[in-house]
Amino acid sequence: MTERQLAFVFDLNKCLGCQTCTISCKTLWTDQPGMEYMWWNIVNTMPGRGTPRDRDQMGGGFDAEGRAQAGVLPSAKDFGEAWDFNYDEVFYEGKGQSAHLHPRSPSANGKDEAPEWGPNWDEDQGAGDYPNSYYFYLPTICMHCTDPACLAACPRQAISKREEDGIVLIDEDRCDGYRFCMEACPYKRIYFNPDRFISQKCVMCFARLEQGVAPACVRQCPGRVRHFGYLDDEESDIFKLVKTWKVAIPLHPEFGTQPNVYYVPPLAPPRFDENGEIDEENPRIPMDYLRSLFGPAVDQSLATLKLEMEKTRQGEKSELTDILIAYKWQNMFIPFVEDPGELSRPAPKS
Amino acid sequence: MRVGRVDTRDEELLSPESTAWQEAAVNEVVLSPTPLELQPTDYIRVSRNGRPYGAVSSMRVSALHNGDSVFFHLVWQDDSEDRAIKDINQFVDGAAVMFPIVEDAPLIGMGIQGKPVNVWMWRADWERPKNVAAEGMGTTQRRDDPALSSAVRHADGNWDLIVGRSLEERDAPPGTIALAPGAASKIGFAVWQGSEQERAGLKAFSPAWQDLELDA
Amino acid sequence: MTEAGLLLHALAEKKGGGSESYGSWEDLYRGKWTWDRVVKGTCNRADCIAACSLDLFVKDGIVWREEQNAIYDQTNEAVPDFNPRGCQKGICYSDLMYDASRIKYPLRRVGERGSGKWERISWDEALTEISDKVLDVCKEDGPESIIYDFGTTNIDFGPGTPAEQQLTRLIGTTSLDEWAGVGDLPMGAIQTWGLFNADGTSDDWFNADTILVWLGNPVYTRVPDVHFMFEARYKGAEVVTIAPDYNATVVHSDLWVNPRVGTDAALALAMCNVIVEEGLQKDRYVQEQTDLPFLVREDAGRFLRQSDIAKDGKDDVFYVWDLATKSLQEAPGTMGQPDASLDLGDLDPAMEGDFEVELLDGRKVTVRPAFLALKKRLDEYTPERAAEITGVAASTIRRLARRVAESPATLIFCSWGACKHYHMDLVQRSIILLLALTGNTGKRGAGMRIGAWWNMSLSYDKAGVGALAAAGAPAERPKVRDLENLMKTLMKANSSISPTMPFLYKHDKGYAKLVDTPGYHDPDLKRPISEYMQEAFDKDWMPVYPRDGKSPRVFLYTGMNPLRRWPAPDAIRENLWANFELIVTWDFRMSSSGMYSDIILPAAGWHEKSGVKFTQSYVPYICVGEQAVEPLYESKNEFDIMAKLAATLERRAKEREEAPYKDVFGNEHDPTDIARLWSLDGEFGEGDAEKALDVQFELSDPVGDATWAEAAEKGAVRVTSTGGYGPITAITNEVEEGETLYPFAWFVRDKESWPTLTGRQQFYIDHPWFLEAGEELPTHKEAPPAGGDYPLRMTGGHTRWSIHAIWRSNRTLLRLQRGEPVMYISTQDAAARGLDDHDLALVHNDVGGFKVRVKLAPSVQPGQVVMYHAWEPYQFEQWSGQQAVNPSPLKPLHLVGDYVQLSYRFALAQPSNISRAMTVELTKVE
Repeated sequence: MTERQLAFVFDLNKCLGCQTCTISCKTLWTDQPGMEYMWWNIVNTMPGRGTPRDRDQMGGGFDAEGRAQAGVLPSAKDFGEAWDFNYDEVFYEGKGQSAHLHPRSPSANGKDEAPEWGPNWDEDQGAGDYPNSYYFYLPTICMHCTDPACLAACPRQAISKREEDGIVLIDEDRCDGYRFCMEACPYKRIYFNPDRFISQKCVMCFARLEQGVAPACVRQCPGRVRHFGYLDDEESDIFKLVKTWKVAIPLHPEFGTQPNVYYVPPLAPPRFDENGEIDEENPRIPMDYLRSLFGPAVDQSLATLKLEMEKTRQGEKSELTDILIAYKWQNMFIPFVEDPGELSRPAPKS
Repeated sequence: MRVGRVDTRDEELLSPESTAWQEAAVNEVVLSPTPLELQPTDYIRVSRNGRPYGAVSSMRVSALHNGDSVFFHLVWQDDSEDRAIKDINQFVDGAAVMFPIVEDAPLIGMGIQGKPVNVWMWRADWERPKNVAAEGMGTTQRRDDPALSSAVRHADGNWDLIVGRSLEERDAPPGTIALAPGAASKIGFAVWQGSEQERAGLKAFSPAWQDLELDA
Repeated sequence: MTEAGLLLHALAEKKGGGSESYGSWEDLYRGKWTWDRVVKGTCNRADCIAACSLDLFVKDGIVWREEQNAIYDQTNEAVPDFNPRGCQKGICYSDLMYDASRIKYPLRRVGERGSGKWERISWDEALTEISDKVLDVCKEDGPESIIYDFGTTNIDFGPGTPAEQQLTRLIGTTSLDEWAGVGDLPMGAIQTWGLFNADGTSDDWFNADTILVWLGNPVYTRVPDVHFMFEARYKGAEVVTIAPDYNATVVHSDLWVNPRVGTDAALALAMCNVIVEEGLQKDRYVQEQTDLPFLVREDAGRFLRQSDIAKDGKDDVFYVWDLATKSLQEAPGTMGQPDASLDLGDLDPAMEGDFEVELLDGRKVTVRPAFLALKKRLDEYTPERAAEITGVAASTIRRLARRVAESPATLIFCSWGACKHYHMDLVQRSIILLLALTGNTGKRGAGMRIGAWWNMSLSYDKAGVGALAAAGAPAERPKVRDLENLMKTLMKANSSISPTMPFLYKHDKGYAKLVDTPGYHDPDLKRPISEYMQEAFDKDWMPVYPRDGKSPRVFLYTGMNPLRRWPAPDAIRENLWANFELIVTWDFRMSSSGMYSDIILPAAGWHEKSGVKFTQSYVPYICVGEQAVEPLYESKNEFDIMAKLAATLERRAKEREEAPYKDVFGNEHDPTDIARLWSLDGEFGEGDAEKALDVQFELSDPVGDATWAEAAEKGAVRVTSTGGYGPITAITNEVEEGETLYPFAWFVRDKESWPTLTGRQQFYIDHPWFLEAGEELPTHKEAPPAGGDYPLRMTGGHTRWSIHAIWRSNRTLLRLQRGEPVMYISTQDAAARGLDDHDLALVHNDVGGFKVRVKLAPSVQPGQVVMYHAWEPYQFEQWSGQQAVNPSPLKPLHLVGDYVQLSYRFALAQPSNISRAMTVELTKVE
């Protein structure tokens, strides 16, 4: 445990799957060559294969005894390549309707190879049989784990966890591009930059935090999904959602890394019975599926959430739902409430 | 291992076809996988348990100097030529020669705190070899070194690598071995097979120092 | 990697190391998050139903990235605030503006249209060629043969669009009214209310107790606003989504109701049935606010009118049976009553009963309240019967009906989704009926919400007609019905604005042939479609220009991409399009239509010019964007393009010694004076865009005393007033500080007459065409098999990923999709056709076909295939896009133009582009 720990709560019942978080991160940090295919933040439709594909089956993390678990090193195609497009051919090369704009795999060496996977390939597909279909959105970033498997795996001690806030960072000067961290991370949120031959991942916008500004993905989320703050601050939303109400729970706790991104698990409308009538008894999203993602705590979390929502239906107040509503947006990320538009940050002289 | 003295220019010694190399003595160096239990992190030990590495079992090494520079000519079998990564889960081939900076610097573990080693490392995707100083696993400091040079070809399922360095000590990065005509030192070797995802401590190496003598 | 990121990287490399020169790797990150300036921007010409202020971070002359400018104040403590408005699209405009679709220079086609063969020409060359053609046509055929299409894809609320309209008005062009061309015209609302652009602020959604998302998918389409719904849910509201597919909004709903495609009217009417059967309706509201107590003649099926029973009686005075006095009484507030008030006073209108009246000729006829006719209609929609039609269980219908009736405030988020179906009007009328029976229209946190606009002045001409008078106290403000009548008169007298779909019908033989296909229409129509069309033209219900056998010859459009949007583009390309002698677009990006144009003018990107975003009422702020960087390459903002075009027109007219010409209304246009007139006597020229904004702000009520400069500094200013009533500002309520805004208070709270024949929410339309079609009352009709006899219905919806086609070709966003168009299909229907995920399929019907990859989804209703909006045709093989199967059969009833609310004026009362629920089949492409 570090002295302090910054943590996130993502409320899946407000997530729109719009990927504004994803773009906010892309334009801020991964807009450089070598980072084309990187999405430090991604939102996946679940049930789905995730990013990289089948990430939940890729191993890593620790077993119940704390022993490291072998993991798979994903390929760029697993993450989803950054496809090229034939703009000029379509617009300016005089080919008329014989050429249409389409993606091409960048690894196909100029061959016109159609992509077969992408970071959001199974968007809005989900599972179940109509009309008992279901899906929901699951945003993921580096979990800034209390016991980071990446840190433990690195033979160069290039990964550290900051004492003052628990941010897990890869020292890009020390990193040698060995990628054991990528194998070991059970959430598969580390990418490899082939141009710089280093591994890279979410840095929790530490440069913003230093100026009192919340991370881009938090501050730019139009669904108002992301609560952010110190897990050890008993006044924080984070503390209340995680510790007091125990509604926000970690993803895959069995990975053993003690992640610091917590989720309010998804509700869903009731399913239909064989006569097409509303079936309130059996949940639309099978509980076993949710347990496979969030562990056994998901039952209690959902029960608490439903109970509090029932209270508000009856006109009573609920501290829990008031926090989730976030009447005042800035309260979602206290104390990082500075407005970046108000800051002056000229580039340092080189 | 004897480093014969020849009267051949650097440029020529950087060619595997050079007659000087054809006449040089060949040393058969036996390689073996680095020990699993000595890998630096639990993750590496667990993930490589039952997944062999370090399969290159030998290397033919010749060594020559011309008074100005010393060159090592390394030949080892590797059917897959991994010069550049085409995907992020790929690794490139590599090789290294290593010298102790102090006499009892351990080979296994690449030195230890206070007992550094010096490595001249070649990787198939680099333009130039790099000069590496280490005092134990995970401590390597890698530097560009204009005095280091290399030439390589891959033919008939073999890597054929020449790596060499000026004997001049001036401007050498800190932790560089000082070699001179007539001097003696020790040397070790390592090979990384990119196709087997070998990197860092996952490699084949010569488990013990070999004596190194430069002809005067 | 983003385009802006790459540019900055290249600049850094050029400078020699750039970012490499920092000390530690951490400094690299700190150094990356730096900028030279922050400018307030917005998506200022996007046709997006949101308005979001953005901070633009400018670095080395590049707009590096956007972040939401989250400055909106909470309306009051009891509702969440609006922050941070924006979406993934708006925050990567900086990527789009620099990407490969950007138009850099004026281009002239050198091969066939659509060949992709271009030559770069100068601005002067381009504008001279355009001017000469315009002058030729004005002289030869009159200015109406020049067609100007201003949107809606690429439109602002100043200064570009006003500058364009100023010039095209001076030329005298025909202007296309694209509202319905987009398929965004809710005819059912117009039939019932006489207007539709009524909504409030989105934080008012939070006040709802029950929210029905019906024919919309706000999780895709209202990214900055939809949180209010899900926050309302946490507050205790029930969110119900009614949609055939398990869409992204269903994900966050308390209940999903999944009717078969196109059966929503039956569902709504069954809910009405339950409410009436169980006596749950709000009687006084129905008596006062609806025409349901109005007496209808049994013999004719028409309302009893004053002209039926009194000499010189009026056609727009109607009767109720007063239970208090047991006598026939004139209903107050109808169009024929001088006083536009619905106040019933002591009247107690009967809702039931047979009454006898004597007509002028002495005949006696039975009359009875329209409510009785409605009850009879509702008898056809018992929950059990509706269950058979819709597939929704009768128990669900009952439960939902009771919830709506008993909930203190029921809000229906309706969006524009219903507007794209053939019988959309029946659906909307049924939904509005449900809300009227339960007293939900005109109430805080309640009613059907579609969208509305703050009435910013769209003119920078101080001397010209400014905004209509601002709202005031009920006694002082002009009456809505009078304003609507005034607009109709003005339209008829002096406007060559033409409703797009009738325009296409009249001027495109290929499209007309499709519309005339009998099988694509409602079988209840007794006559051939062409007869209805001809009657509408003969009676001038649908004013379409040019007239008198003249043809459209020049097409000037603002990048709104007609060949992407219009139905059956293959047919249109061969007819109307082929007949245009000159096609010109100004746009910042290459669209499919741009590819088929003759001249393309490079418009400045949004961050390269100043402007006002759509003034959507969802957010009580006017959002503006200030120019952050110089226009890229040779691009120019629209204001300057118009200034240059006006100057070129005048120069060429003088050189050619052109005489004044007349338009169809007899107005004279002098092309040798056009630049002076456009410039308002030299007041405005190139470079004066911001000066025009100064004036616009001065002329605009919603911004109060705020100036353009203040707005540009902050990015957004809070509205203090809705602005006057106008065609797209029918909010009909006042902005009150500290209160959320809901629509229709003037009619419900203040009891002002609605702008309809009956002065009420009118559910009984006794127009002969409606009686003929059996649609005098809301009813359910199956969507006709437009496209032919094929088993699947192709539906759609606006996409999460683009506003129209603007972002469809953007590389960064495509990488988060499948990189190319996809069609969602149910797993069952896919299996039956041997289709696996991502297989290529031919989608075809009698109209045409296109190839697309399929995405198998259990969320899709069997029988339905879903094609989300606005892929560029050039993203499909042979550029054959999703409209290729769309015959867009115009519903003849929407042509009616002689029935008060059913009378064409801009953005109202016209047939729509019907782009949903056409019949198709899918065949796997091997």
